[in-house]
Amino acid sequence: MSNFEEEKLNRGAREIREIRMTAEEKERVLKNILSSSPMSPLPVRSPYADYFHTLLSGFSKKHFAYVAVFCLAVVLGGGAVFASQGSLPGNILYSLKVGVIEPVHSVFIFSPETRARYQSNLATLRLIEAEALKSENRLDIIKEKKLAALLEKHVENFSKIMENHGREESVSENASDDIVINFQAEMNAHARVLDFIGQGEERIESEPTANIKISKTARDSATKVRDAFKNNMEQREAEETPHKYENRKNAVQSIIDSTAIDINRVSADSSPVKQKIIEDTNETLNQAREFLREVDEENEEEDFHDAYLKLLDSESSAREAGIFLETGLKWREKNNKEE
Amino acid sequence: METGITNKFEKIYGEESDAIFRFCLIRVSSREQALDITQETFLRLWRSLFEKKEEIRNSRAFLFTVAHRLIIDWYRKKKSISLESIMHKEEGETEYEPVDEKTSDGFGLEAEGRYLLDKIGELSPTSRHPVYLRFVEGLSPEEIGKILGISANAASVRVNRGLSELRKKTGYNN
Repeated sequence: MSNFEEEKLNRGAREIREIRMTAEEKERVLKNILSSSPMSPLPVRSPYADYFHTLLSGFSKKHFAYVAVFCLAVVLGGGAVFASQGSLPGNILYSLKVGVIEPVHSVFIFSPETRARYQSNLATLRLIEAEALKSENRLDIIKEKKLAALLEKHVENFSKIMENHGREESVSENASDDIVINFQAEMNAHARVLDFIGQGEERIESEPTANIKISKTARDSATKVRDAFKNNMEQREAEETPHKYENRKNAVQSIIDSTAIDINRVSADSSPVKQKIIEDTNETLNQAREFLREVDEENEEEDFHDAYLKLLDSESSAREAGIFLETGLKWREKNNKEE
Repeated sequence: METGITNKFEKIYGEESDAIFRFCLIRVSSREQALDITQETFLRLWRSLFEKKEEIRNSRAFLFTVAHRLIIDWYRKKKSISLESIMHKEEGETEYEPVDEKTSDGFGLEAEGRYLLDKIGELSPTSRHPVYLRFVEGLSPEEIGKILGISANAASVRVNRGLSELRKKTGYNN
């Protein structure tokens, strides 16, 4: 290795070492520790506790009621709270989970990024719950409607947080790209998984069953969020840092490659259903590759906005393919074991 | 005695807090979480200094070890809202989950730093932490061995293999 290349590596390491706490964060953490009793196992305040006071001043009675109910639930039934984590619609603990635990948890999340990711995770969780019920033939219309309504609520919360873009206390541009792509990929992938679950091997020659309500809600939500994001993008300054494109492009390529490797790993021993999942995954991967090719064309024409949007579309498709393959195969294997 | 311990703690905190915070931030990709884990890490050091249950000969290795374990715990808790929690909840599976490298965009890094961090993230799981701890933080193989629960020799081998892999990945090995 030449001195120049060694110097590039060392410079990279030096730049990483520039990641530091701010003076204010450093002081706050130190103050929290020193003000705690060193011999006491009691927890100290979070470094974000200062925000907590601000938040409390704006607390509504409803929020206090949630906290009170939550505390009561913990005192009277800590086990129930824990047990409710994996509960599904139809289970007595499910209302506790979606009506108390999740809303209370969200009240204590402070950064807009984390709040948006939390709502996105909840939306995904609703789809996974629908998958779990459908795989056991327990997804009736009532449960499906309930899940679809909850999903819509999470999407509404998610959109509100993302709409604050550009204002104080908003999601940063870099984070919002990741959050939206992830949301879009999760919604589309799980909607497709839902359409697949429950099909017997003999029915796979035909198209997947007609969209059920919740998978349609998921797809519509992905489109709605993507459109809103696209509008926001148009107001942004054009990205003129080529390395950002390059890094992102490399990252997308590595997602595509790793999903292609996974496909090769499972394709040797495949049932018709598995083959169909693989075929669909390949199709989505090809779509991701196609978007990636279009990125170069847009870049050559110096249309950086469109190039970046294509890049994000490519990443979303690549992620969707990976999620669809992994989740689809897992449910398939679970069903096979039970059969 | 208390003032002596506080002074000692403040000195260690001043010297190591940025490195611990960085180690946490790169792995959990959330500033708030990284601050929480950093605080918890130093809190444990603070209590250990008072309790003197065991003498802390190498506070740096101690801090990285605690932070490493807290991060793994954090990932385990994070996993509880996942597909696995519904499909395999009875098995209580936990798995170490690598950080999505692209989130490094939000760290405010310059181009070389971001590129290097991306490439470190692409290393095999056994090499990733040894390389980071050695190359970025300058820890010795003995210290890395303690942090990761492996021998100093094994740490040294992982560092060397990882560095060679890193040079290939960065294209700096020509």
